[in-house]
Amino acid sequence: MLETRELTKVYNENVLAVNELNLKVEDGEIYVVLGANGAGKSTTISMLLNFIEPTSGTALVGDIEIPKFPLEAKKHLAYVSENVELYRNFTARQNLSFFAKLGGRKKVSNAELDETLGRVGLAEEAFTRRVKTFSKGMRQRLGIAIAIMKDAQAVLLDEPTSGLDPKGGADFLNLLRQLKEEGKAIFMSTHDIFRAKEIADRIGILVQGNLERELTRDEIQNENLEELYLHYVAGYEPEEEASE
Amino acid sequence: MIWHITKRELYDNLNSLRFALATVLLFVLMLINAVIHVQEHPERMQKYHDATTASVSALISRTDLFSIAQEGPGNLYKKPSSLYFCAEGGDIFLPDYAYGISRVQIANNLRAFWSLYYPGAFPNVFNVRPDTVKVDWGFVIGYVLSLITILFTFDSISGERERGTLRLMLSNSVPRHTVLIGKFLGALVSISVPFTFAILMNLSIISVSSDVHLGADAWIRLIIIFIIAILYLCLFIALGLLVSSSVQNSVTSLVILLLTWCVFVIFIPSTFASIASGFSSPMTYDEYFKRRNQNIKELKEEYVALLQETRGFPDKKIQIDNEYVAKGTEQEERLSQEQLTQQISQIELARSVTRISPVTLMQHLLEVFVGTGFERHQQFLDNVQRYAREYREFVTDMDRADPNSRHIIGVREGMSQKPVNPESIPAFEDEISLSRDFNAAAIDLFLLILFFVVLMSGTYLRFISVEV
Repeated sequence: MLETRELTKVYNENVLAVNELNLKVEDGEIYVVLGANGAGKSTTISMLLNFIEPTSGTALVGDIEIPKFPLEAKKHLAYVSENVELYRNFTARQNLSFFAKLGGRKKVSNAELDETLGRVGLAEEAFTRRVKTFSKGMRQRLGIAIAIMKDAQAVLLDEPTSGLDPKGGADFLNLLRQLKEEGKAIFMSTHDIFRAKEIADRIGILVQGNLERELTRDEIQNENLEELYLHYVAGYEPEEEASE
Repeated sequence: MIWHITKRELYDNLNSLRFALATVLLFVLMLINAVIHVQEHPERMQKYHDATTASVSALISRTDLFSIAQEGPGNLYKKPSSLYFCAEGGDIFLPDYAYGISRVQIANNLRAFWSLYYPGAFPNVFNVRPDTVKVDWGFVIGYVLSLITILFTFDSISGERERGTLRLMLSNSVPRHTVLIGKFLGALVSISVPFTFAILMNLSIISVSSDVHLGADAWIRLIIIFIIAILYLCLFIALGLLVSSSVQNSVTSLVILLLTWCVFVIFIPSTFASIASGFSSPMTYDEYFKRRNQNIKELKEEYVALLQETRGFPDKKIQIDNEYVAKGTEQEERLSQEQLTQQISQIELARSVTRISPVTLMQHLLEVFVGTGFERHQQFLDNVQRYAREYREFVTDMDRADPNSRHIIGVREGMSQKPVNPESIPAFEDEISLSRDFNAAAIDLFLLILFFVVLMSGTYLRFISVEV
């Protein structure tokens, strides 16, 4: 379970990035936060990973307060970033092994590494290839493999599907569904409305640091998400409402 | 955890083009250094040996105490260091000898005793070519190794930030100081391994050469020099990590580091030394000779005036001769010492000001432990002055030991007439002492460690607070 309580970040010169954010991601749930650039999505993830200190409020993974016990909290958090470059001179297997050890694994066998790499859909010939030869989609798969290998309670994804082709994006969402089935609490930021609609159990719309709207699975299915998003983000009013 | 990060850094560096180029460069420079030393060192030692032999022969050819007392020990040569290849230390700009001779003629038949003189060194009088860089360890460590270190560390943190791997790494329960130490050790091992092998290759060539002998003392000094080099390397790694963690991209980091390197390694040592030298002007050779001639002229006039009063009083003449020999000797030596003191003050001021540069500190330390450069020259001058006292005491003791002597040192008839055994005349030994070297190195060593601690602390504080 991942939770934020009144989580706030004010940068220097009074720039409000995130304002009293309250949200909860249950185990086995995918929570997608939608928002334009600068809405506070990445700042929220950065605070959840303790990369930056919140100005006020707190965040929890399970019962552990992240700002107070960051190292303990990070044992239960896995992270997939927007642009997983990884170590270019390392092979996929070496990258995975390195991050598995950083994640606290003492020994990792090649069989286990290969199984994880296979699970995210990387071809066997890619296991021993240097990552600098990988496409973005392959690197994202490897990023997910790293998160899987860590076997953390919560997975944070910062715009993971940006730049992926339709097939790559679809494959990626399948991997997220698998993680969900394993009971992980998944928190994903994106501005890709269509993929959000496809995968999310709940969606939060973040506008200038404020959580303007939270949608349940039913609401996601029933409402026009694109119009809703544009309404909150760009102040766009649907045509029929305008004509009335 | 630190080891995992270090291992990754190592692997990354070992697979890089910069590692290959750095290794080749270090090996080539160390090879050139060894070959030049093997060729030049025997010539240097032979020259020293010939000069000291000639000086000792001239000294032991005198058997009467008066001429020993009057003529002095002659030329006293600085012993070349067997570790000259480590740091040339600007030795060509320092004289390799001092001399104790008598050259003040007070009257036709009266000369002052010997005084110590400190010649200058004018290496470029017959050489109009620009000076070329000496490829010694000092150059390799001070310039090449520091530059290599910058090229290895400029993207150490900023590169990870650009690739997003820093966020990924820190999303694990890894303390930031662990990442920093891992990166520090990774860079240290990556650079020190080719450096160490290049040094071992260099020392193998030098030590298998039959013309170069490295004793136990030399090997201890080499180990100390290696430790200093590693400390210097650590300082630049800390600098690289500090800048790399403070900026957003690697290009900016590289530009800042290269500018810093140019300022601290090239600009400050040369420019600050020149500026500082201008604040302290030692006596020029023209002034020296003018004052010397004036002193001698006044001495002669005083002596001639007093000489008139001694006619018919031979004992009084002996007393006056003795007095003026001592006076002439003393004023000659005082003037030489004054000029030397002023020259030393000028150099010490320049050395103090340039201590702001780590390369200067490292050069000072290398020179101290190698036995070249300014500190070594001061040690040589101390040895010369100690020997001068011993030599004068020897003359006094020999004279006192003769009951027939009138003990009026300064005139032939007042001194012992007994022949002197040439073997008993003290010989000059230019010794160097490791304990004295440690004392001489203390300030520079302290400053180098201080710079490293300050930079490393700055890096730590910056890295733990930086938003990734």
